[in-house]
Amino acid sequence: MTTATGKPLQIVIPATLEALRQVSAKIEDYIAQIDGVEEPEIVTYNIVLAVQELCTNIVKHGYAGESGKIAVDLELAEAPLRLIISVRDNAPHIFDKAGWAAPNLDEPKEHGLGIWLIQQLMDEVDYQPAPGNNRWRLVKQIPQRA
Amino acid sequence: MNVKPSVLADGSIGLLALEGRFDAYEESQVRSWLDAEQAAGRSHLIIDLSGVNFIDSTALAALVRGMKLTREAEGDLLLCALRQPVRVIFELTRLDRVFPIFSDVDEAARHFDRSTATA
Repeated sequence: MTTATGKPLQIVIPATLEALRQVSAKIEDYIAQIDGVEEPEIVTYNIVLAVQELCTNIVKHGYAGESGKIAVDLELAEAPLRLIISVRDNAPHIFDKAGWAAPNLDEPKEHGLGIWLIQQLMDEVDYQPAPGNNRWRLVKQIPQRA
Repeated sequence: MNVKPSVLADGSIGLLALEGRFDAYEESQVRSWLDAEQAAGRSHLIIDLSGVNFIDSTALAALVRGMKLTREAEGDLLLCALRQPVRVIFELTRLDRVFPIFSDVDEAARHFDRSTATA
């Protein structure tokens, strides 16, 4: 059961680490408008963290110091209730999906957890790379109280 | 993020209390503190996360660096007072098995007291 605020929402930010908190705050507000979410604090945290990890990667490795923007679209879908998050950037560098390997959690390192965390926290993760037009689609089912 | 450094036990333990969002934008403050503690020769460190409501992988990486630095100097980095959503991320990444985690600063400081006494 969702409120009328299940309307899509677009957030556009400059590609800086400082601006990412704007995305987090708007996602938190968006999820807070959904009725009957089970364990809302955990659900919200997981979604906010997944988007934070993705956008951090875009800022650090996609734009790599160049200026640009990141667009994040939020949309609710029903049956089952799920949040669809589309992230687009115009960064010149693409994520090397083929060269990526899951981290060895038994040997903690100082990098490499971001993409793995996104995969753990979201139900679907899809990436369409293209220099200057990268698109990610993340989907998370929203558990509902009985 | 608010950062409050202090020392305990006559200056032998470095304590950093964090409050707010500990993320890629803020983590350099913790790295700077770790560098300062290393320069001061302190390898027994505690980070109080009771005020942290959000942590990301870049922040976790800063903590891993601190853990490695302190252990190389025969000390340790202890964490305390993790809120539930933050603790879930530690469990997911298995970092709860890597870091000694305590309920509060006093308990963490007592751990150092015991380990120093038995050394």
